[in-house]
Amino acid sequence: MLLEERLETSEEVLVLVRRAQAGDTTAFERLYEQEVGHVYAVCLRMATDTREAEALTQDAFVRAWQHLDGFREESAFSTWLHRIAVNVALSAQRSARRREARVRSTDDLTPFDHPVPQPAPEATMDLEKSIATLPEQARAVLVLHDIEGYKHAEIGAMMGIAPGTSKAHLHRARTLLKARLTGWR
Amino acid sequence: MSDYLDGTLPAARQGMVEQHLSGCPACRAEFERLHTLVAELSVLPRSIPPPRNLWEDIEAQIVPPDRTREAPMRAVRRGFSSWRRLGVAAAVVGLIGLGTFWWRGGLSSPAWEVTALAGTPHIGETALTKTGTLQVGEWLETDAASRARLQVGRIGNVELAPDTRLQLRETKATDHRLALAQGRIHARIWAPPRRFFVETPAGLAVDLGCEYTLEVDDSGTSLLHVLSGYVGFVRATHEVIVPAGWLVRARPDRVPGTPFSEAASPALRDALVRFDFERGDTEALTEVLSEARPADALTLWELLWRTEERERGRVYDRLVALVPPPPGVTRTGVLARDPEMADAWRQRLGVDVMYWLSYKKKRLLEEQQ
Repeated sequence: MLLEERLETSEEVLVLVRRAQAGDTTAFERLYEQEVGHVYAVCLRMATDTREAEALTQDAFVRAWQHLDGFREESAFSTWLHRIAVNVALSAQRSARRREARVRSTDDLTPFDHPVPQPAPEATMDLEKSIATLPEQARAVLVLHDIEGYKHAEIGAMMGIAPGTSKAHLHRARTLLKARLTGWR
Repeated sequence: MSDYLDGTLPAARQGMVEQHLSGCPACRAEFERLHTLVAELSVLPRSIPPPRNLWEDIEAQIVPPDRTREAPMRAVRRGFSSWRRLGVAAAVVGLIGLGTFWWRGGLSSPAWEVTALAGTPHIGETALTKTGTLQVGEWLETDAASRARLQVGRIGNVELAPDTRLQLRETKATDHRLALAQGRIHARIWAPPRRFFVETPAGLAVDLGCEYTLEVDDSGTSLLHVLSGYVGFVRATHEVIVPAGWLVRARPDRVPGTPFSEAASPALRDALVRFDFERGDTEALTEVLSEARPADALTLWELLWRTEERERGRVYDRLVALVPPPPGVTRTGVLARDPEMADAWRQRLGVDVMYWLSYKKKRLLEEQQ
C-alpha cells in the first residue's frame, strides 16, 4: 500500500470502525489494508515461519471482527487490534500442540527474506535473524517490550507470568542477542 | 544492567549502578553495547507486509454465505438491536469527550522528582532545599550558585547547571517534553528513540538514545553537544542528526547549523558560523574547506547538502581528498545528490546506517522532490 493511500486521520479510522461495527465488511477491508503490516510484523516475530504468521494474522482479524462491539474508542483502533494480535500469537504459543511440534532451526531464517517497507540494511537482517533464534518466551518478551513498547506489567498479564519473570526473560533475551550479534557482525 | 537501562531499578540501586558505571570502563562498555542493542530494536520496522494478500481468507471467515457485499449496511450482526446501538452511540459520544480529556492529560498530572545538587534551586516561587516535584507547566530555575537534577520519569535524568531555566511541558508515555529557555542541561536518556524532547528558542532536540548537553544563551542561540548515541535537532522541516562526539549550533531565526566535530579547529568553527548564519558563503566556505581535516569529513559531507550546485564540486573535491568515497560513489552522482550514494558515503564516515536510513534518508528524498 502506498503511503499516500494510508488513512489520514484517526477520525477517518473511527468512521470505518463504526461502519464495520454496523456490519460493513468493505470498511473492515479498508481497516485490514491499513493495519495488516503492523499485525503481521508482530505475528511474524512471535511465530515460527511465514505460514504460521499468516494464520495468526488471519485469526487476529477474524477475532477483531467478532469482537468489534468491544472496541470502545478509549484507545486507538490500531492499539486495540494489535493487542488482539498479540493475544492470538501468545495463545498459539501456549498450545500444547504447538509446543510439541515446534522445532525451530536456526538455519531456517527465510521469514525475513521477503521485502520490508524500507530497504533493510545488513545490520537489521542480522538483528531479525538473531531474534528468530531466541527461546520462545524470551523472544516474546523481547518483541513485546523492546520492539512494541509494552510494559512488564502488561506483558505479564498477557502471558500469564509475573512482571519479575518478564524482566528475567528480557534480560536473558538481550544477553543472548548481544552474544549472537557479536559473533555475527 | 538491563533493569538500569529500562529505569526500573529502585532509586537507590539506580544510583549505585550509575556510580559504578562512572568508575568502571568495562561495565560502561557493556552498558553501551546493551544501550545500542535496545536502540536498534526500537527502530526495527513496526510494519511488515505479508507475502500475500490475506483478505480473501479473512473475508471467507467473517461473511456468512448468504451475505453479499452489495448491501453490507443492511446486515445486522449478532442480533444487535437498533435501540442498543443508539445507546452505544450516546455512550460513544461521551467516551470521545472523555477520551479527549484523558488524551490531553486531564486525568493525570504526573510530576517529576527534582533534587537540589547545590545551592537553592527554585520551582516557580518555591525554594528547593532537598527534593521536590515539578508539575507540567512549572519552571525549574537555578541561580549562579545552584544546580539541580531532574528525574525524567523512568527514562533518564537531566542535570541543570547554574543560571538555567527549564519548564516541564508535557509528560506522556511516548512524549516527555521540556523547554530550555536559558542555561545549560546535561541529559542522560535510556529510553527508545524519540521519546524525550527539549524545546529551545532555536529548535527541538530529539533524543535518539543518548547522552548530551544543550546550552541556550541570552540571544536564544543553542549549542548541542552529543556525548553518546545520536540526537536529532529539528526546526520546521529542517533536521540534522548529530552523532556522539559532534556538536551543532542553532539560532532562533535560522535553520540549524552544520554539525562539527569536537576535534574541529577554532578557525573551522568560526568559519562555519559565518557560513551558516552570516551568509559569508563563498569566503567562509573556502576557509572551512581549507581548515578541514579527516576528522571533519562529516561536516563536509553535510555541506554537500547545504551548498549551491556551483560550490558543491569544491566541497566534493576536498571531501574526496580527506576520505576516499566507497566503491560506486561518483562525483556526478554526488553532485546530483543521489540518495544511495549519500548513504554509502555517510556509512564510510562511521555513522550508523540504521539511524541514517530511518531518519536522514527520508529528509534527503524529500529535498530531492
